[in-house]
Amino acid sequence: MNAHLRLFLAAAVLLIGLGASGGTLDEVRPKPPSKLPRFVSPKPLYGVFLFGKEKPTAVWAVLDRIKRDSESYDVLYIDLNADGDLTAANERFAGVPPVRIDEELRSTFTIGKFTDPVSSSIHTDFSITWRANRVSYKMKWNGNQITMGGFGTDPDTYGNFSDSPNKAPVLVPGHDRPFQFQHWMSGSLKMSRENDFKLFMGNPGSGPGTFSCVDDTFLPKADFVFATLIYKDKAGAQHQMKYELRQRC
Amino acid sequence: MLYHGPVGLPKDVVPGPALMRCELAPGSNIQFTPTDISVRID
Repeated sequence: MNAHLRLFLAAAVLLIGLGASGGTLDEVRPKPPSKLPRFVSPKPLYGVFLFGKEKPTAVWAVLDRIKRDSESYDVLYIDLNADGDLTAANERFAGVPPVRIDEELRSTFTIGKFTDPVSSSIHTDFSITWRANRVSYKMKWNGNQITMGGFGTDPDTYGNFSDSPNKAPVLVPGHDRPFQFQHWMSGSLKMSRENDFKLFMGNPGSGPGTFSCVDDTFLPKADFVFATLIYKDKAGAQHQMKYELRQRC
Repeated sequence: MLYHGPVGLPKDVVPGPALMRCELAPGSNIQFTPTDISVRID
């Protein structure tokens, strides 16, 4: 089967899945890669990116170690042409030596320019960073503004890659889909004081800590978020109160 | 990377679960889906 046919079939499977499920990501898990390199680590870590909207492209990423006893995950395999084969020479990235920042060891893999093989969209400055407790990514969507993830509702719930492809986080970068919102450390509102309600704006993924967001410069200056609290009073009657979230950080 | 602002609770609110519906203010040209976020009032 040639590469184009495999790509078409992979996209078709994803589209059928989205249609059958009503499009909820929790019910759509891209098929695991069909061809893997021989890993050195006994516990490679898997994640998958879903690019685009109409014809989503599944791009698998797997972290490995150069040596079995490497201090960090220092090799990244990423399926740049989305053909399910992670053995191509140009899909292996060796991390720069890990750096220690605030007692935290990090390996950053610079992929740079990524061309979505289905939509032909070009995204730039793509990087993936491993830490002991999480994996993050960042890129400039269509070469312009930032998309990054994966975030949970507090720093302890940021996303990590999984040692099983069947449980790998599904991350949805980009600015193509209608944006949704996720709170950050704002799930509990205190009656005794004013609360600072904080939000990410972006795309939910599938799995813990998989929200992908824009940065705080994305919205035009005149735009802001409306938040409506829907609550009940002592008698059980429902009320609403509106707030304007005009600040950014 | 965060959008935020002050939220003072109404006087008639009672402790317990509530929803915060989040959306962009009218006039924005950015596409979004209103999102209901579960919160807890303490």
